[in-house]
Amino acid sequence: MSNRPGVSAVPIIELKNVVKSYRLGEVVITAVKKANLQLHLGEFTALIGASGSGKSTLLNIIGCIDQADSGIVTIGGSDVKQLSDNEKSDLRNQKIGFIFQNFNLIPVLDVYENVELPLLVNGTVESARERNDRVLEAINDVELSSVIHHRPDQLSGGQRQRVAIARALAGRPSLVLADEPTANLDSETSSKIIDLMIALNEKKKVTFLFSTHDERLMSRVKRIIHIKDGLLDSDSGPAHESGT
Amino acid sequence: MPNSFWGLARKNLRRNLKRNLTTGSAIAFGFAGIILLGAYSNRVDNYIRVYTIYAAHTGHVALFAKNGLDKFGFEPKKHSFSKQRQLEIEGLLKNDSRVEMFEPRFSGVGLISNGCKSIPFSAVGIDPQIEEKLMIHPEVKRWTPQIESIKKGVKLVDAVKISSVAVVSITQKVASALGKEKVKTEFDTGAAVKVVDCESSVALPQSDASVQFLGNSWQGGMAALDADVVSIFSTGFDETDFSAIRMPLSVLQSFYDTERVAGYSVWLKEASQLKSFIQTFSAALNGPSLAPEPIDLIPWYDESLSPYYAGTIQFLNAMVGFVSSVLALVVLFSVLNSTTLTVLERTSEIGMYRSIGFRKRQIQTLFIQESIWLSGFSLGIGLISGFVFVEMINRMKIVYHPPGASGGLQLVLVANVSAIFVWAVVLLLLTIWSTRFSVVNKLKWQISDLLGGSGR
Repeated sequence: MSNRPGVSAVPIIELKNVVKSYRLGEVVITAVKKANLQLHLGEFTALIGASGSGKSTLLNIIGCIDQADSGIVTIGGSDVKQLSDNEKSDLRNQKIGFIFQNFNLIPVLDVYENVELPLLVNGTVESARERNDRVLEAINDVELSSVIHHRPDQLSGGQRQRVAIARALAGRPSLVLADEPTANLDSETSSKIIDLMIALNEKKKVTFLFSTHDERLMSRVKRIIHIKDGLLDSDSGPAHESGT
Repeated sequence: MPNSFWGLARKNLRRNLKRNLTTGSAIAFGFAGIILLGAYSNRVDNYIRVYTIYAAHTGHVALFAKNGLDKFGFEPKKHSFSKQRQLEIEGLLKNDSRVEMFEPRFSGVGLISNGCKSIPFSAVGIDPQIEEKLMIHPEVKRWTPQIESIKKGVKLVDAVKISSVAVVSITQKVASALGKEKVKTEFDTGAAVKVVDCESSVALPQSDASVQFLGNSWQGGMAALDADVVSIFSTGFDETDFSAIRMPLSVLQSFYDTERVAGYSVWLKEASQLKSFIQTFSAALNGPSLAPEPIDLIPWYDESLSPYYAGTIQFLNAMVGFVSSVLALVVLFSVLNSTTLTVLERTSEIGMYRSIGFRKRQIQTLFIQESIWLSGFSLGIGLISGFVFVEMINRMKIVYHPPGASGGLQLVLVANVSAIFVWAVVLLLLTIWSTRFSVVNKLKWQISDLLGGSGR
């Protein structure tokens, strides 16, 4: 149970004994070893570890873009193993937002259009007006209204990452996963991006889980999960505090 | 604003602009090439078709006594129609609303002479009234306007009114061989026929338009005929121009001393009624009220009736089919190469689409819509280019000499709209298929592999 103010008692993500291995030629590499984890609504969590420690693999499994070899992954009460490919797509679209290290924006689309992308396939957004409202709200949240019709090549690195954050938020997800969101940014911009994510976490009550190997960011985050060689070896978060 | 996949797909085309322009050019020029080839094929097909049906007096359907097409030349009496049978057939033809006109078929061979020199002839008896109708037929005006059957002199229909003796139309090559290059109207009307002195150094055969015919009468004796050359014509083919002559049917029948005819050429109002006409007319001719004489009804395109048409079209179709297939394959491989590279380059983008919730089919649709934009635009450019090239070639008035044809023909291209539509659809489908092929293979990947973030 979480005892942190603003954090829900019910986990939105639960991993039980999750294992993931890859075969590289003759060698089998276990990227995630018997991971157990709970994330609650409204948490702001950093997944910290060295390169190759299994951070990205764990994020991919939680985000339903990779499948665990064994163990149980539950998102919003649903066992993802039981979901069809289309159901997983809908889950990613409506419950999860993704922020990538290299932004992954469409270069020929402007800020508005990039943010609008996930809403084009969102079955819960019924009208063009609602879609427009959501896009403008997300852009406003990341303070990019002044460059709304700029294309990515007309934006700075920090602005591009803000566009990616707005795109992740446009679908109003309960969980945002960010894979090294500050890796391609300078330290000042990185700091601003983390500030923005913290502000959105507090304002929107969106759960954030991001991976990083930047030790400087640790002091800004309330819950830190360390991963080493595929093992979750320390967790400073609310779940830890509560003894779970 | 890409408020739909179509808008997003259109905007995505701006990426890899050079590659898209190259691929688009391959589609456009491939399509333009197919339009040109189709226009040439269409023109030649219609030219030969109309020539065969109208200028060569074949008709849409040729009606013969059983095996008459093959055996009339050897056993004309056995394989021809009696007067009684002619009346029955003509009665049925006149009462058939599908029939535009018909003409008895009659031909024969023998020798034609200028008094000193004789050469073989192959004569076709024609109805001058029908000849007149055929030459002004809308199909002839549209597809073979440059065919002037009469190169010099007057038409047989007019000649029979002004000549007191038999009239004949001979080809340029027969005229040259006999020294009869002047026609009746080029001589004084009162000039007497001169007796030819074959030993004289003076070219006496050229002093009048008179020729003599010699052949075997159907009754078993010799047949001879004096006639005036009233016109010079061309069959359009070197091979037949050496011996072809035309004369009124009645004159030719008289020459061979018979009332019988070899068969009938029948022209229909609608060519599309050909098959039904053959079926029903055959049944009517063999009906219980008529004499039980078996007949053959042969469509105009049958190889035995129109070997030149059939051979030429078979060759043309094979050539056009081969070249069109090569062009379509070039387009296919260009598009396949382009889409494969595009999909390869956009692997992480596909991963991004999947991770933000696009279903596989939606991504497939997005890429296919990009292809439809590209190929649609390129086909539009190709269509315009094709028509511009066709117009340019027609305006250049290029004259060429097809093998076997007497004289030159102007290269005229006529675009075939229905074939263009079919090829546009084929190219569009090929483009869609090649795009789908590339994307579907990529969509089999794990999303983490698409994003390149799995560490594998």
